[in-house]
Amino acid sequence: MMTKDHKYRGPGGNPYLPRLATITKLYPETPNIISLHVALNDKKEMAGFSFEPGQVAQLSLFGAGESTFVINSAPKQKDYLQFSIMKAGEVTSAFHELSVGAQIGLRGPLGNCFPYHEFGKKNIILIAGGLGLAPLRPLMFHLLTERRKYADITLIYGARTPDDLCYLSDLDDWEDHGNVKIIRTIDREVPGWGYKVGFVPTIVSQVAPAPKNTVAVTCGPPIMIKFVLVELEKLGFEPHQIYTTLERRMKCGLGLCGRCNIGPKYVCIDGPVFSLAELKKLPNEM
Amino acid sequence: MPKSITQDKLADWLNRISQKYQLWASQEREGISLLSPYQPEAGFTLERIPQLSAKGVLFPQSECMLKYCYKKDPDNPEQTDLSLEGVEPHLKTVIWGIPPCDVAGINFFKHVFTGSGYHDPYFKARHSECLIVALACQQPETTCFCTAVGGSPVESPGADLLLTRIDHEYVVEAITPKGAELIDEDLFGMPEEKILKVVEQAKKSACKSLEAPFKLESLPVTADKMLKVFESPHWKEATRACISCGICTFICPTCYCFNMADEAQGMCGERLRCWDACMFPGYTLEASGHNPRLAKFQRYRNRLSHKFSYLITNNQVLGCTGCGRCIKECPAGIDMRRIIAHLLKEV
Repeated sequence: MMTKDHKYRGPGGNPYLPRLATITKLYPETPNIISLHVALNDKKEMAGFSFEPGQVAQLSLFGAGESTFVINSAPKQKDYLQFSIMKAGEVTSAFHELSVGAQIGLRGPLGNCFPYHEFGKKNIILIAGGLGLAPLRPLMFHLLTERRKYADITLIYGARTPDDLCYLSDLDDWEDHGNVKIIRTIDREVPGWGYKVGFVPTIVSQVAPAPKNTVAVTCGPPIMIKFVLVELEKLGFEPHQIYTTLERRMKCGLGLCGRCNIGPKYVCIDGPVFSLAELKKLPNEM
Repeated sequence: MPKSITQDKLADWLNRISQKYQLWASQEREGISLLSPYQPEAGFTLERIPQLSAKGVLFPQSECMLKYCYKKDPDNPEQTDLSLEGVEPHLKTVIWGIPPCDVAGINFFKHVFTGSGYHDPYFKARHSECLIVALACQQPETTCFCTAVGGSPVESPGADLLLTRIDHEYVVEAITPKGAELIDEDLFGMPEEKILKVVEQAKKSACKSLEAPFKLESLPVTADKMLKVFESPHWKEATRACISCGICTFICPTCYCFNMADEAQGMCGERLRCWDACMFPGYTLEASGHNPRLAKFQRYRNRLSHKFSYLITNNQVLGCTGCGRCIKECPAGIDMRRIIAHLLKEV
């Protein structure tokens, strides 16, 4: 796990100052999500940039503002960082207007990461909904670089419609070459859909992964996470076997501006990754 | 040894300070005492606790964090370059005549903004070049409760000088060597022995005049107790009258929540940091429409739990100086003293 010593220093030691970066590739992921490749303008800094799966960065489009996104490329990918942005508010909408070559700012990596070093020899079940697959993508890439260290890896991945599924070519690749079992689901039946139909929590209870020697990692919309946690506990998973990664409205990303707290913990510096055991100790304010 | 200055020489002293430093002192405006940049013609007042805390001097209500500029490449209009410039404030400042509860507020900021986590370079730069002259508070108001939260009306750790008024004379104690430099002037004399005795007595009686609305145990115990009452129905009952106006956060010497927003002028602009308020529903509203603190009781609960629990856990410091401004200014008459006292009795 990253410790708090791994701080983002920023130009001149000012952690509020972004580094300059360029969008090197940009393509639609779904009808309302784009994926960006971002490279730091300073080649040395880019080559030296390292992050752990689950960590986030703040992207600035000056004039529009700054927002937090998870880094979803493979940690060993040294040429660029990938982000996926759903059009939702002012900043994300402005990002959707950009094209390749656009100059932006980047602060990161920020936050903690998935404790994958505790996953050795275990079965791993990843459960994601929609763009909730983004934080799990770098984790999957990392797990696959050392596939032999882990037992069964399963991904349950759902979206509203087939069009809303992200990273489709990755899913095929992980299935075909990564020895990963993938269970795809959509909310409602669509002609030609050859996979499961139903909400992600329902599919979790159908698939019924056995809790013994298993860790579960989930991310998706808050309502999905809430019911996935319920299903996992019904299946006998202990809170310390379950991890999730949270979203909150953030500004500074440094634990100073105040808004992303759940009780005494800040999602930006103490998270975004929490075990259910950790969350249960916090006030119920999801 | 303490020195002393007579009231009629204070203006001369302020004028001298203001030649070397940016000087902040309280001004009387339409019956209100406001801490403002000192202007000799506007005078100064030491009669009342300033209506706003001193936090704005070191943590301005709005400040520039960085400047940016996009420039189109004339040879290739497709290409736009970006330049970025950090802004670091450098200004020698003296904050003069503030009560010990406001000095405690600045000490609090120091804990949170330059403590164990990320440091805030803007606050740090301002704070490192700031001298504080505190004024012992001899007639605490009915809303004051500094002694209940570990403070004192008449002592002021963190300040550089402490003034105590005795009739038309101010006894001046240097707390730091930097503070002593401010009084090395011909305007000051040596106070008589009997005056120093009067000072001691005045300080004692000021402390005695304060009643404790609640009794806190050690900080960790307080943090723990406040976490235990998170689900108490009292939060909802006690905040029914709240109108989410946020004045409690605005006038509070320790409320530090902020927003960051860009202000563009054409292709260039600034990123501003502005005070924000956890009492506003939009503060935690997410782009998806989800809001973890949608109800006003949740926001109020977060504010007080932050001050009396989370800050203790994270920074080993209490987020209240007992200045009483939130009680005095609340348009709905919410008195946090009663809420804390009530909640602490529940556990």
